Amino acid sequence: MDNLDTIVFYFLAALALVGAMGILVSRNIVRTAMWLLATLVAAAGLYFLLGAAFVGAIQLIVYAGGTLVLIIFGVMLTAKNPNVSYTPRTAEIVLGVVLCVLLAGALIFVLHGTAWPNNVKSVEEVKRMSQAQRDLVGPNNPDATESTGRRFLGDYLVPFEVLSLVLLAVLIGAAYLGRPKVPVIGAPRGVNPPPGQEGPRK
Amino acid sequence: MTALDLQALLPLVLTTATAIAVMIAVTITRRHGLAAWLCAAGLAAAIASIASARECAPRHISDLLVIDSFARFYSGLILAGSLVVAVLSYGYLKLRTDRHEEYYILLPLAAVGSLVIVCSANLLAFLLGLELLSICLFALIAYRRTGRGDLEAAVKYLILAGASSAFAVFGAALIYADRGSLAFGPPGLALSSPVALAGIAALLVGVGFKLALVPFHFWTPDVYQGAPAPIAGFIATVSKGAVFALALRYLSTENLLADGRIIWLLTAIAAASMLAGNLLALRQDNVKRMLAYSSIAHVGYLLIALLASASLGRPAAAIYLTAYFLASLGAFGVVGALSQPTRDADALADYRGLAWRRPFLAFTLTAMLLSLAGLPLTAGFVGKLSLVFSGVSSALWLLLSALVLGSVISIFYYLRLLAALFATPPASEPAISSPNTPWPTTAALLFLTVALLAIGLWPAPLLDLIQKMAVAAW
Repeated sequence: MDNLDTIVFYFLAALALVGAMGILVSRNIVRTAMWLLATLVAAAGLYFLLGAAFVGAIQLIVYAGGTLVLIIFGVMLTAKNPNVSYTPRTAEIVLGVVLCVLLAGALIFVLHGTAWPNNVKSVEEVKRMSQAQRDLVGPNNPDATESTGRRFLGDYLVPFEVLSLVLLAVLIGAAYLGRPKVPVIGAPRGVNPPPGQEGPRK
Repeated sequence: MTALDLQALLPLVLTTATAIAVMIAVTITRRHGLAAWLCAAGLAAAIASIASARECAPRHISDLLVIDSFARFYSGLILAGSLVVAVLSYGYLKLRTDRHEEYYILLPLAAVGSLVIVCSANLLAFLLGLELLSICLFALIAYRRTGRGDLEAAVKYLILAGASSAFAVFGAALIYADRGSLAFGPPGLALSSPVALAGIAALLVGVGFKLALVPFHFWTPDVYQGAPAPIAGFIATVSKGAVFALALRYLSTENLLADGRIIWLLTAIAAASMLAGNLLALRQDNVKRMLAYSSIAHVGYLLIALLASASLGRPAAAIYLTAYFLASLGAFGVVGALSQPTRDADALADYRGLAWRRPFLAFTLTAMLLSLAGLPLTAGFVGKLSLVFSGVSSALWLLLSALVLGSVISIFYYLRLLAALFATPPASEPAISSPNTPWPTTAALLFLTVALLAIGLWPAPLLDLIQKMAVAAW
């Protein structure tokens, strides 16, 4: 069992890394989005592997499903040519690589230099535990989805409502900024776009 | 959730209700005046709810939020700042854009984000508040949608806020990996573990961006220049004030100042912010950019209060922030009042001879600039004095010398603008023909000026209030 877990982990981790590299290397936005899909699905797989089924499902539904479709729709609806490509300058590449290597080095140093606690429990062990013990273990709890839902409407009601305010702000801000451009009434010459060049009207 | 919890959360609930009330009103009828008054009345009610609930003991709402007297003081400051911004925005927006009402939905939501930051006792709540604040600001910065300047400012803010939030979230994840909880201490974070240290460093990037500290300050001048003047005032005061209050709470509950490396790092950032902010402001002919650079320096001064001992540092931070709120909002209010529908009054030439054309606005701006420079008779002087006291008591000599040097430089560029105000008006037409000031704007500016001078002349009531509220231990 442990061996299988290890093999699956390395497979998913490799998929996530390859996807991330693909995002960096590809210059076409639609292809970038497809590489992003690989990374997001691999991350969801890692969550399932850790026993966090709820987070894994949310990752698949929201990120791999919703956000990615939104990105592709965004590209389709805004760009005149959906195959827009972006070519960075050499100086930008050099700067980016230097910063990334520094950051990666620091993280590897930090993660390597830490003594991680080794108290991971398998799903079978969790199933044998009492309810109080299960609550302590958290992610491996088979009933995690139910207790997550209860907490959202119990202890964590206030942050849950704040999250809904974040969505409200996004909706209103996007709806306002996305309106077709309307000429400013009474503005002097030069402020409004010349006739025939306004944005699409509905 | 009990009735007492709800009572403690009343400012948050009322501010949220304000946004929703404006939204419902907009669906019934689109009237700029109605939306603005609803927004102002709701924020005023939220302030009143803080004043009425002053006697309550600290309350923990689950383990995410804590409503204590410290949180109440800064909540009051944030709501008062948002109220002034809402009133100033009415006159400013009337001349611009064809749809004003969404603004009064987003503004209270941004205030809710700031309140969540101030009340947070957990990194999760902090990150939630930070996102809510940032998302509202993206739309508010680009609200005019007219020029390239505002869209450029909004896109810059969007990308940099996104990147800095990513750092903050990653930092929180590292801290969670280290201690298994996102709640603030005590017990403080053990910085001997490299994961916790890396987490703090990543969090610092997120906080430093919002506070516009050197070296995370590059966005500030462009965003202030492109944003509508009242929103520039909001970013300079409410958004920074909330994150600063959080930093004050976080550093002391996690006992981070016990670590020499953190002190060294914050000292370097503070000194660099004071000097860089003031030196860069020196070369500016654009008033909004000048105020942006000077705001970098002001947060640098505030870090002295962060590093000083708690007994003197916390009241000093509260006094200085109050004075800074009044003066910054006033200065951006005058910029907004002078602005034409097509462009903001941000050129130095727009202010030449203003004292002869618009004596009230010129007098207000004079008071605000003198307070920002920290000259006597203004609230800024009281604030700077208490900062110096707190610094001396903790022997922060390096920072105090940077403060003195920075203040001397800052007097030069504030006086440069003052000299323009009182210069003889040019024979030709003024560079900008500013519209008449509507009465809400006049009333708000008058309130700010009176409060500024009252605190400068008789600071005792404010000091009493701060001793009672902003110093209490958590």
